Amino acid sequence: MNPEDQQNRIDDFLRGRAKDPDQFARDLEIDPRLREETDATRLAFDAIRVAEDQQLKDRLRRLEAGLAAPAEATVIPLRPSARRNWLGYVAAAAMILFLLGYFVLRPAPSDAVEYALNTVEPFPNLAYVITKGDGGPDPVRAAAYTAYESGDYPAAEQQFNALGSEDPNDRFYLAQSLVAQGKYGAARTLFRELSTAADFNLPQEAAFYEAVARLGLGERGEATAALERISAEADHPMRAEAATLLRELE
Amino acid sequence: MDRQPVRAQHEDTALFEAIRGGNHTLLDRLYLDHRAAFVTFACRQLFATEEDAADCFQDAVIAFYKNIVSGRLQELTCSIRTYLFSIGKRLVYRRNHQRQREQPTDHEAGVQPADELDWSLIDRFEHEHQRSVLLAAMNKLGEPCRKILTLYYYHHYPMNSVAESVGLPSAGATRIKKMRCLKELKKLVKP
Repeated sequence: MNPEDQQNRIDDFLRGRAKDPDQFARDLEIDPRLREETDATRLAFDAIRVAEDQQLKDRLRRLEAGLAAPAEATVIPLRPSARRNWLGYVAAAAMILFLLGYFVLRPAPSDAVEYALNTVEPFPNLAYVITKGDGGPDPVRAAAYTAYESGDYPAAEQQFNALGSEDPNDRFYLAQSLVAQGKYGAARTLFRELSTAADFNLPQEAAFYEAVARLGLGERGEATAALERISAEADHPMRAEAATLLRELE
Repeated sequence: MDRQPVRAQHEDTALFEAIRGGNHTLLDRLYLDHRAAFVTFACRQLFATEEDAADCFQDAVIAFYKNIVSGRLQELTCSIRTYLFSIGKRLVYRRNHQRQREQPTDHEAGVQPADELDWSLIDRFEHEHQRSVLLAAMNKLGEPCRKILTLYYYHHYPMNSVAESVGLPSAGATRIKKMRCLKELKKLVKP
């Protein structure tokens, strides 16, 4: 049984949804590893419950504190002052100037590819859980993902390269960091490898970003064909993103 | 026990739906609507202090909320006030009982040394310690993980709703993230 299936089985047992709880209980008695994982999951569930209860308690305590010490009333003038009216007119004029400037100075429509690329969001970090406080047992990896989550893609690229990992997850986020910086050539190579990698959870996502990289490289025909294939696949996880990108390219 | 009128049942259903949808402002309203009556009742009838009464009523509102979210409470067979008072009353009884056990031992009365040990206090300290360990673990977890695990395991949201709430692209991506977050939390809570 793979780790995810085993975890789902433990979840179901602890949440009272197991199909055969007696069998699970028997398995627990003979399998120390399963017992250990079940105990850890039970503690994790307790942590989730305790933290949410605490949030609710804090909320009601704040409400109670508000009852004990009502905030001082602030007197608000019924008529806005002349100075505030004047500031309003200045703000409105600045907004009109800004809009005029935007329409006059905006780039020509031939930059459609660039616009489209700007709408592509880097894929969220699913691979590494960043914990607060220390750098954990793997400080370089932690630094790479922290830089990635904060949008510092040059630093993320540097850290991923320093890590030198062959793990497809790390390579996927290195490629993401490259795309975000417009380094499409190196990104395309990585995404192409990952889109067919056997031991990788996000091959379809990699295929989408390969198309994005090709678009960035000016291979518009190939990129569009790939995006059309993706948007036509009912179960493709990046179907909506591909359709949006195609609309932007029109 | 008499069942509620149909109109009240409709109102309860709407309230339950809103609470299941994570509407916390309704908790505030529940608390504010019934708090004063409960505190007066608990102080006069159960001899609670005002502070204890309010604290127990907060816990009663939280228990009500949790029973709805977990699905244990599907329908009320009495008014919300009766339900909240019934939980709150039990909590005040328990609090009063604890308060009596915490009274300082009268050493002058020749009590034996072993009797000075109040095991209920020691149990509670241990319980508090474990609670703070669990809280620290959750606080150490980053915000996306905290939110994903809470929505999925506490609020029982389906995976696509979790994905929408945290801004992940798909239920599949959220499932992968949830697995990793849970793995990390398990590492953090391990004794």
